[in-house]
Amino acid sequence: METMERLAQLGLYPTKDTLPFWEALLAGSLVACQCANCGRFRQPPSGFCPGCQHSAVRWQRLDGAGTIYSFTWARHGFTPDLRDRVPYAIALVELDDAPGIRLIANILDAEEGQVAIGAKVVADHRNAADARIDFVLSGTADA
Amino acid sequence: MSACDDAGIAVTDVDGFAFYRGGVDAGLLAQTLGIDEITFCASLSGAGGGSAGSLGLAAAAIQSGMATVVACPMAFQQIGTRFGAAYARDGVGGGPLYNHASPEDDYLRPADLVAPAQMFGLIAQRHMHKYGTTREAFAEVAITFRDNARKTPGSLMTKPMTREDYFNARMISDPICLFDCCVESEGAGVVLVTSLERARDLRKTPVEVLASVHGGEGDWGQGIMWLNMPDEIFSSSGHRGIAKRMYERAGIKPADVDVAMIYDHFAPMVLLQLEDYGFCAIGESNDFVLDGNIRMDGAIPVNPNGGQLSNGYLIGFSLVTEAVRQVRGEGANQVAGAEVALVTGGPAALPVSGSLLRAVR
Repeated sequence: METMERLAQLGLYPTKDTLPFWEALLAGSLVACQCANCGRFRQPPSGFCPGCQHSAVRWQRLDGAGTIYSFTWARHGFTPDLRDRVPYAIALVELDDAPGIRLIANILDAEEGQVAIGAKVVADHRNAADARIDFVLSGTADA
Repeated sequence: MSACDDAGIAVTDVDGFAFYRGGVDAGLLAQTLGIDEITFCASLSGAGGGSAGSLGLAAAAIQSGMATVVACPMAFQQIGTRFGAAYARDGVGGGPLYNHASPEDDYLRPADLVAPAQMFGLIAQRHMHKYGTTREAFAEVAITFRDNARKTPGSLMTKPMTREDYFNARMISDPICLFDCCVESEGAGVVLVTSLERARDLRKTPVEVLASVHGGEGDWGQGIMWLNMPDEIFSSSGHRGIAKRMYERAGIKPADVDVAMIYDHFAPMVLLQLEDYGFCAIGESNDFVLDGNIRMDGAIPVNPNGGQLSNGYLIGFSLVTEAVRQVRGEGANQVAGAEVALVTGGPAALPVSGSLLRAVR
């Protein structure tokens, strides 16, 4: 219950289908929801496989390495608390260990121009206690 | 009332309502207007995706005999947090589309993805990467619609826009700049749908709903709130499936469309719909637009009223009413000889929608 309370403080309201993801994130790691029958990954986690219609789930622990699929630099502070944050990079990250899914993430410590489609990134857990989904650049763009 | 006057139909003859995006309180409408009995009342689920689809609900009610005159009203007021921050979380002013009971929406929050402009920025960026699409084409959309708005009374944005103005505008969320965003506004509109026999006896030129479809592919799903669509359709508008079905039902092709009212919450999404509705091939909208094809004298004039980018944003409904005006030849900035109009709903979470309208003369 402590975990649920912590997540609610952060504005997150998981269900039994998504809770393992958030528990792992708070503990400083990433996991992905995978169909135990056909092996297809799905995001967000859910109790039903859209590929084979089975409901058995396996949680795949990820090493955090991935590639930027698309990105945007948020420059306008749409809400008061974001006015101090802009500009920040939002990216869709494809994960080496979980093909077929993307996480919506921030890319930390990056300069403009470094964040690019195809850039290699790795999960960063410095803000794990706040359940942030963060990555940092790990190499050069090769796309 | 003015829609009823325009049609020459008594407001008390309305016995049905068809909505999208939650619609308007039907009970309040019925008691306010003095309607004897409502026999049909339905709404498409979702949000702006359904803006071109409530006509189809209305037509289905007429064809099935569930109602005889169906009003499709839309009214939009900006209360509280504006639509621009639609997905912002509680405590900072929960946006109008914020739903903290949804475990799926939780995945937007840990990266501060709060705004449609940011979500469509991600889609546009991928399209640029995949097909070499440029901001020049987005500028062409914004400038063309501004020119059109200047010829349409009531438009909110009437200052001339040059290419320099466009490129000097501040960036909101790359590649989407200020002038790629629609003008948030308030307003209302209504379309009346009845049988063709009855419509022929009314005051105005009848406009036939050739096809009005809604829905979409499961692989598009929640679209911008999901962002896990397969690569084949990620950098699309989510309309490919319904576009194909719409043309099949109407029995016409893209080349038969004279004027297109394309949902323009963000300029890049106009390009992606031009592709999905078959006006050019997938990935070729950049050159298609830069060749002048969406201008008033182009192959397919788009949004002659200035669209949502420059005329005003009514979550798509001003595009529906303008489509009716255009095929009747009543547009303030009229496309010469327009007989068939396309109107699209928002590229958004499913359902998305599209309609083809034709004047019956």
